[in-house]
Amino acid sequence: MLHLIRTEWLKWNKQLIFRIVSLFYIVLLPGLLLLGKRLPELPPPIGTTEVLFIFPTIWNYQGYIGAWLCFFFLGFFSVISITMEFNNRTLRQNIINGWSRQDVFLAKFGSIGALSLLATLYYVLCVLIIGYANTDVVYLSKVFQEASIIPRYFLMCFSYMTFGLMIGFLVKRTVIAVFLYLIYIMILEPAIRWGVHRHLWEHKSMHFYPMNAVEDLIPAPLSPIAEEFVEQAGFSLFLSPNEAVITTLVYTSAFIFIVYSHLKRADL
Amino acid sequence: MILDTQHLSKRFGSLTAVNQLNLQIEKGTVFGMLGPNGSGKTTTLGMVLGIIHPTSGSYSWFDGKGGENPRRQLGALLETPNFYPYLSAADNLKIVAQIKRIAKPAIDESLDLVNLLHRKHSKFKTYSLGMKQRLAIASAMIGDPQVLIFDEPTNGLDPQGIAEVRETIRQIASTGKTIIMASHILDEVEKICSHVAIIKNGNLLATGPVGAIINDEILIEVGAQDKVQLKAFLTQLPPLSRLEETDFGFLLYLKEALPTADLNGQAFAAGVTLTHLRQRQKSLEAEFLEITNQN
Repeated sequence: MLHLIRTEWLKWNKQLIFRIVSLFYIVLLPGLLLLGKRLPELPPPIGTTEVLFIFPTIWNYQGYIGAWLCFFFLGFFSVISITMEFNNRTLRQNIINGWSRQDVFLAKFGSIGALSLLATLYYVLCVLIIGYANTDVVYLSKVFQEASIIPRYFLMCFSYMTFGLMIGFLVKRTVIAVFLYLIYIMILEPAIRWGVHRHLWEHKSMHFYPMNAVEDLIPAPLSPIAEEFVEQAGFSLFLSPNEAVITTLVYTSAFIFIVYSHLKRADL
Repeated sequence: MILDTQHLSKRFGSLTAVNQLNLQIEKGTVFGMLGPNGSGKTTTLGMVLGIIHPTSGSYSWFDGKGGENPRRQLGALLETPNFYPYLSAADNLKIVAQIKRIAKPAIDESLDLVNLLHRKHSKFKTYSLGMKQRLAIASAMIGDPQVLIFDEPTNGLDPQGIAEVRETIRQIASTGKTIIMASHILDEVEKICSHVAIIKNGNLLATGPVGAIINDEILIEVGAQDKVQLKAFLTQLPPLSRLEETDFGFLLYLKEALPTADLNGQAFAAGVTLTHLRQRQKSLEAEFLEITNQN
């Protein structure tokens, strides 16, 4: 497995898009949070911007920013990392050169797993550094009070990239695949949930969609809309962390299985 | 046996691309797969290289003794040279070596073999078509495999490129490696290969040593002013097997040798003055057209 990931690394590390995507993630993750320093104050009932930078609330704020970056940059990279292999016909050459289809499968998922792990470690690092620098009195219990978010952050990252890989594998063409990835997450799924599902059946089940579950792994902080929604609909706007984890695991496993069976059967 | 296919078939919908193909390729041969474009050569290679699933039939490499993944012991180039455009030649070959699990690949030697060592650090996308094709050959040579597979290796190259690639393949063949080469260019197969399989519309029409496929009939081109008189003279020649009318006169197929001087003398004695007389070897091209037309 390590051998396969190392081969993928050889493909990635000199690729311009990979470097740009990594740079954006590395700079923007702490950068966007620190922009909060320039905000005068947050909308009520929160008020002061201090919560953005102190333990334990920083876990959620930094995580929420990370979720957007993972969706946008890492998911995007995941899509094109596979479509470019189809465009250059390098995937079939990898097989001609001696990889089995299982090797291809393990290399792709192993490497997005490794990338998710690195992204998560960097997230933890950013939280710890910014948190320690801004919290006046640091209690270890406070620092890790919200640390259960860490595995969820990893799952969020891995699931966006799995979804990206699946679309890349099925669609094969870069532009269409990237478009589909973005449109599905930003427009199509919300439209189905809010326009169709809620219209037909206003029930909590409208939240159990694959990408919504991934989003809810790191729920949006400061949402007055969320409270309004509860009063109106009678159920929460978000899945609970556990619901989000289980739903995501089910969908992500299904996506992995789809890629696996497609890869096993397809003529390349 | 290097490769053995048993009733290998591939259908795409209603189209049968490869039909019940039985090929046996022995160690040390330079095996040409000859057929017009779209005859199923690439599909066949795609199947034995694991990228296309056969509809039916089977194949085995090295009599099934090639380990868990015998493709690692082959060097293959299918259709176009496929590399990562943003990586240099050396980095691309490193990836190939990783996949083949070769710890210390002789990258410089492979590049030197195809005259690309001086462009080792250039990105693949800056290469000309001929250089890309040569890099593909270098890539196939990584790990010094005993079997090399080339699919239309001279496609799209200029005459100099074609000559270079053929020379490289000939060099490789002289080291005793088994080479499987698909081509629609007869001349290429005739010049390089020891064995040939002729394929059309997915069917195997003929297979065997190039010498056996080219039968040993002797061909003589004969021309005269009076074609009727010439024909009358030729038809009574004892070793004649067949006569074919052409623009210059007739093409004689003889069962046994007849020196052109004798033929000329006999014709003159019979009152026919020849205006054209030339002995020629029957080419694979003629044989190929004959075989494909019969089917």
